[in-house]
Amino acid sequence: MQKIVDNHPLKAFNGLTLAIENAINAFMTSKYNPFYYHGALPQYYLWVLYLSGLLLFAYYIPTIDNAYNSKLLTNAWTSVDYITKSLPFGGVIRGIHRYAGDAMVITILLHALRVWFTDRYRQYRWLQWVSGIVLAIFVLFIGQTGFYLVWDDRSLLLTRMTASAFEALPVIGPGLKTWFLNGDQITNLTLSNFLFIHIGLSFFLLFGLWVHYLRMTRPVLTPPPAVNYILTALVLVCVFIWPLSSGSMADLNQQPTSFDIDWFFLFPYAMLSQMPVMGYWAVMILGTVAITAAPWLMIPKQPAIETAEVVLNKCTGCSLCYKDCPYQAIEMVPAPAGSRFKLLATVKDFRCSGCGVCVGACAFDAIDLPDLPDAEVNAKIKALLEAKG
Amino acid sequence: MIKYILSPKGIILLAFAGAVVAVSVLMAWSELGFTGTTPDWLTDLTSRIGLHGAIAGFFNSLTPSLGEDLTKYLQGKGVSVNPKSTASLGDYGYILFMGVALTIGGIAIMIIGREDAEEKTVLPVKK
Repeated sequence: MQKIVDNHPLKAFNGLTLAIENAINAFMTSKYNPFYYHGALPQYYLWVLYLSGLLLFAYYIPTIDNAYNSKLLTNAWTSVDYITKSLPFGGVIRGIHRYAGDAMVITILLHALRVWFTDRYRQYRWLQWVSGIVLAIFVLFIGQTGFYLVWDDRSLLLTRMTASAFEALPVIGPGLKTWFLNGDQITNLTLSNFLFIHIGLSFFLLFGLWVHYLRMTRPVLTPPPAVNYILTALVLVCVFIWPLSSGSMADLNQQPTSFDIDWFFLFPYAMLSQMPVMGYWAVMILGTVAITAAPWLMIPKQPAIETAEVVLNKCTGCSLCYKDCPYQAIEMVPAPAGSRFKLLATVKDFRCSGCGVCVGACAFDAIDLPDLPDAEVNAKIKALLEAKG
Repeated sequence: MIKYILSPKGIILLAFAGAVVAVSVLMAWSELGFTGTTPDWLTDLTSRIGLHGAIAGFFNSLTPSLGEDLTKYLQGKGVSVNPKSTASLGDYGYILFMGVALTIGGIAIMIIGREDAEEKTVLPVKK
């Protein structure tokens, strides 16, 4: 694995991230270094979004008109206005929901960059990379539907831009537009659909995360409390510094022409407004395919990996190698008849990266790398520890 | 215990704890919408322990400076509330002070927990 990193064209960037990591370690120690929780940071914000979204959902009315002739809550815009201006802490909770979403996008981006520069996105990690791309696309779309739900003039323009972009696609375009609007035109059913997408897809993220964690040994799911305090505080301070407000209520008889852009979620609309719609789709689809295929496009030429081998007469079935393997390449199976022990470690060759973690974990010299004897692995570890002091 | 409190770590702990409490007190004041008028529960509580004048005076003294500045900032950012509602500009102040308190608390935990956070690598003993 080290050979791959050494040959990586982006080695300089990898060195930069490691230097930043070391600097943070010197300041706040490894326990609180967000570099070691970069995957857990977006997930923490996901819980914040679920909780704040639940509170907003209790007062949100997904309709676009005033047909009910009520002086109280009559449509989406007025319900958001009520939440923001009249409900105790409503404006604040709406702000938390918005800025936690922005923070989630930022932390996802940091997570992806870190994974990329440390070369952990391919070969044995391809599933995490591909599922991560899918999760990121869903997060963006869920966030965008959140902007539609406010139902101000920006929401109307975004809805019309999205419907037009869908409609321009060949073959599936008209069907996508009908699905998106929940009919042929914008009606109350359209906002019901947006609300369903916003909430339904949010829960789909949990399934996506489950896939994302497959083949990961002991993934860190939650940062330590002190880091959580800081993550929460960042959102709260943003709520005060940039309090939210809505535009004017959407009017189907008007066509808004410009809006304030949130660069974290709405950058595709900035692209869409600057290029032909088919060019936009070509950039988005080809870009997504290229990023998704990166694990296979970026594999450098290298010698075949020598996978770990279990020394059968030494293995005690203690499971240490099984617990430490980062790639879930070791499986504990019942020991053969006549053995003194209950379990035996076996190596799944197709998942083994030859990293040597299992060799270091084994207390019985019972697992070896053919090209890297156990004694040599231990000598290397000791040398590194002594060099560190 | 006294020895611990007087140690550098203990002094840092006390300083940060004091800062968190001080900022957290401002959260209660923010609930008043920066008016400085102490709520009934606080008036009643402080009068029972004989500190009513001091606490009410502290809250009220903040109004001409901090309260008006925060109100001016929020209104400049377009924040408005329905006059008939129970929401207030103080909601935003409450969140600001909570954020500051959490930041101080988080940094304090990182400093105090620094020694416990050192990684210790143990090589397995080969048998």
